[in-house]
Amino acid sequence: MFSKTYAAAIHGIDALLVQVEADVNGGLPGFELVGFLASELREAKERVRVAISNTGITLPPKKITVNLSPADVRKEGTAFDLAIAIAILTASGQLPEKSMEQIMFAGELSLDGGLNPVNGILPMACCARENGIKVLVVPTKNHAEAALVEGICAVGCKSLTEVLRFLLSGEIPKKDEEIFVGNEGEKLPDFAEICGQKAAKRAIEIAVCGGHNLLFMGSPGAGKTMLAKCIPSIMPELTKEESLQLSKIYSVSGRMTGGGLMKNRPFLAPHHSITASAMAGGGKHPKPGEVSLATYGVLFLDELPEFERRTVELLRQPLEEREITVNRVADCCDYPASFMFVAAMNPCPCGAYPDRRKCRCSEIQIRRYQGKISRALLDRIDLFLQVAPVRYEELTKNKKEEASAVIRARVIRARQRQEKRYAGLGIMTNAELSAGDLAHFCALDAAGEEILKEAFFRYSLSARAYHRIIKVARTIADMDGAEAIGEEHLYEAIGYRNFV
Amino acid sequence: MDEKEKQYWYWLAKVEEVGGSARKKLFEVFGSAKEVFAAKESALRRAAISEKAVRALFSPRYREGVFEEFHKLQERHIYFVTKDEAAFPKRLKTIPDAPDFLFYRGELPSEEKPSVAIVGARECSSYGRGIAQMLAEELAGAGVQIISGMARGVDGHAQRAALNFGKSFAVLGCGVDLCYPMENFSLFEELIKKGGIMSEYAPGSPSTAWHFPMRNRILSGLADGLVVVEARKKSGTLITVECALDQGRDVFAVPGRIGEPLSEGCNELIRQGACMVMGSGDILFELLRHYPESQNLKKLEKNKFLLEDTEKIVYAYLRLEPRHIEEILFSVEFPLPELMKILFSLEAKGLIYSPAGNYYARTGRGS
Repeated sequence: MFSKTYAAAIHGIDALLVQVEADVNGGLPGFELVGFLASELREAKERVRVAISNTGITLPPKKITVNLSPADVRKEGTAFDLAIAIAILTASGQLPEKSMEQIMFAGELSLDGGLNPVNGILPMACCARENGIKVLVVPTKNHAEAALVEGICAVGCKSLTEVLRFLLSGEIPKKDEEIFVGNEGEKLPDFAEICGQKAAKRAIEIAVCGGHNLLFMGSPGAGKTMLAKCIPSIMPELTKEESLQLSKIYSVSGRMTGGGLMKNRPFLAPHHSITASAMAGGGKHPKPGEVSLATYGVLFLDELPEFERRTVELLRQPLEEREITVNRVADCCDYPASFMFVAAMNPCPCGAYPDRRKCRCSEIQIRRYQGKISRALLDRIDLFLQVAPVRYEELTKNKKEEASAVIRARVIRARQRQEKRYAGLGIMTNAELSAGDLAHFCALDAAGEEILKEAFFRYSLSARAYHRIIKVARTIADMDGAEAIGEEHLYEAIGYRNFV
Repeated sequence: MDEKEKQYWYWLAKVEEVGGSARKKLFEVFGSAKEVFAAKESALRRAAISEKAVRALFSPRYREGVFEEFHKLQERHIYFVTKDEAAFPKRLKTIPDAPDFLFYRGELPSEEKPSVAIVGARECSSYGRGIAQMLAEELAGAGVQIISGMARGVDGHAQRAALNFGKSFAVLGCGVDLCYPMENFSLFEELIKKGGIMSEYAPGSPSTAWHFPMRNRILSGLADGLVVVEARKKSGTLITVECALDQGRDVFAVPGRIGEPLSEGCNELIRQGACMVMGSGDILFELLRHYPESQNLKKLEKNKFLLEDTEKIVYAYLRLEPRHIEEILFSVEFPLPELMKILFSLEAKGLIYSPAGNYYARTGRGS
């Protein structure tokens, strides 16, 4: 007898509907599992067989064939175990056939018949909804995540026995406790905790308002990392759409904690020994890398010159296109990678430059150190800032520092102004303006042009640096609520120019 | 000396293995460069010069095409002057171990005008940079020629600043057709246009470590006084000071703070009796004794800038050592955007500069 059930295979950050077909018929007794399977999935044969028998069901001594269709898409992971077991039990007549049409199964079986959680439940649930499937049966631990998707009924089960009981009698297993907590409760580092650093805070605010990337330079201990960690706390909250997208990425990589949708913007600070493929994503089979996990949040590279050149170079595509294409032996995937790029570095090998009392690095050494960073990457950074160590007076001043919530309110206002201006253009922030758009949106008056001319020659700026100053000035004007870019906006923007 | 003899001199100049003392011995025996060129090996040996030098004198490396090369110098705007010629700098003739010849581009320092050498640390602080620039500008503006080594740090800063107001000359440790260090290439070109570049090494000679102490004697020899801006305790600059003392030149030193490693050398010089410099006036005063007739050595009119009140406040807080914008912000309590505007305009007036992003220091011009 033949039967089929549904499961889903992860591809990129989306899931693809998979039919699990089983046939139990006469012939030499045996168990065949086919359909372009990864080795962990081929082992499902043994897990399913033992789990069924340990649940107290005896499989008939017949030829069992299971096919995962479409058979030309590679399938991996252990999420298919449950669907395979149910398909076999239906085909062997131990479960009624009618009930299976509207149900998708996901979960890994353990030998005693228990259900273990799997990665990627969120995209699977989205896939079920898109394909008109009404019920999704998942392990209890994945229940909260599956329940995030509206329009389908998620059923959490602890074991194969519970699944069978649900299928036969419709009894939904009781939940142990409510675990819909989300990660909201996690407290982000707040700017109120940082003493002084007015200039740095201001630069960060500008960067967040205009969607600009940022480079900090400063001696060790100046507080570069601390400042960067606070950035997510002043970014506007995630929209529902963004939150779902981000949760999918985290679900696929098995990093969903707490069960709820992602509420906070991520902050990722990979160590400088990271390899190129960990950064971009994927090993043999594509998996989201750091750039994707940082989506809608901050990717912070501390000690930028210490990173391998190849690792840093690959950031160019995501910074430009806001997604990354991971092409590997087995597959090719597009992952979202739309993040704010923040980098930090020492000004010289010892870190004390320009304090010549401490720094004995030669000009050549300094230039060589700073030259390690590729020009192409620097061209994608709009704001540069030297961070000085906090002064003792600031540390002990006991003055109340501005809280992130206050800054965030200002950021949202500045963002709204930009969205209004660029409505219908497909861009959201000043950083995304092309050189052509600049003339239209960032017109300067005669005085402004005079200032830029002076700066252009004094600092021998490149055309790109010139455009960057205008973009940053536009953001500062937006923060000011000004329609046109004024002199003071330009002066400040010039202060954040590239000096590397 | 006629052209004929000069081309043999050029050949002799190219033979690196034959130094000043060997040349002297050769002239005692043969009398002229031409005779040296024509001399037999056995005859050369009689001059008691080293075996290596004898072999080098016969080496085709130096002999082949040497005369064509000599005639081409003019095309390349490289000039060759020997000690016996009138054009040879008089100041150099009198020093011990004087060079026998010089290659130069641009021009040679004028004999009538006073000249001062400004030297110092390669990895200088912004204090050193500021002072070097200030002294060079004011002295050059008063008509003093600035001599230096075109090195990184103090040398380069002083020469660059001097060229804006007057003339400057560099003495190199390599051929005058080579630029070392490469990063000073723009200065190198400027110097050829507005001053001169000199070397006792033939065109094409690379810069070798032992060339530099040798060129220092020419550097100090060309000057009436030597100013040391920044020097560590064991510094190459101090070799130049020794040369200057041997040659009877005035030595000036710019004082620094106690405990400042970059000023230890200078402070030590002051302790030993060098003239302490607190401004270009100190140097001009001493120079007047050598040039009593040139009363036009007037102190350069200070550029008077009209500063706004806010600019005065910010400027008063800045020093020759760089200060971060955060420090300035803490002390002056202007809002950041306004402060950036003030800094920009002070920089436009040439009173301050930014040695590294968001750090600002005085240039030394306004004080």
